[in-house]
Amino acid sequence: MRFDEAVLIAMQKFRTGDVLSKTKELKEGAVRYTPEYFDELEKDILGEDVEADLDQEMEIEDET
Amino acid sequence: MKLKAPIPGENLVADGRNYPWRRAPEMVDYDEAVESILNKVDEDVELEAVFAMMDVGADMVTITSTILLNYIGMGKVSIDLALLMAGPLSRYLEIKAKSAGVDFDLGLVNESRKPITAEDMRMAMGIVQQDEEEAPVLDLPQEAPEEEAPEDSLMAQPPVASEEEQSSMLGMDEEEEEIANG
Repeated sequence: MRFDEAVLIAMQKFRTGDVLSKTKELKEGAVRYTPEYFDELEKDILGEDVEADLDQEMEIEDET
Repeated sequence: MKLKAPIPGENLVADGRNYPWRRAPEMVDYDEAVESILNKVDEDVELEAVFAMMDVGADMVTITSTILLNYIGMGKVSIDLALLMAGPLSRYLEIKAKSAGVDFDLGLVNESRKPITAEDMRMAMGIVQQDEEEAPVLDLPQEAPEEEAPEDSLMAQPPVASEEEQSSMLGMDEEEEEIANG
């Protein structure tokens, strides 16, 4: 298996949340960078933009 | 003739700490390593390079692999830890690209995708396979039948010895011969 193939599998596993189950067992304390962390980060960064876009669309619909 | 190759056993006299990846990695903790690489990627120059690669058409798997291999090469993390970091790094780059409005390709395999076959390629290239009946018959040279060598020739198969001759050649007497033949 090539390195990029392993990276591809690791990326897919992270998105499904499989990969961290064993990491959590090995690590003392809570793991910070989990898939949930990045979901929240995405909401924080992109959430306002998404809401602003929706508001703009609503305004355009009201005008028409 | 001179060969430009290492002398057998040369690796045993070389210093094993010549390259960073031959030494113990700097980081072994998952969170510490992920935080380190996210901070590194967050730098303007790095982020510009990543967005440029996305614009060129490189997918997320390629970009993530490149960054991680660079990190391994610098001796920051081991290969195993780098693979654990692949998910968080790609996810972070994805968020950054979305926030910057950069189009990107994740490069993940689509399970619903139908695999490309040779038949698809023929169809796409306009090559239609002819039926077997219409296919031209190639005039291949026929193999000449093997001629049996005459019995008295040197190339002839030697005659097989009878059972008695075989047993006498093996040094068996009559009783042993009877036992052997049952």
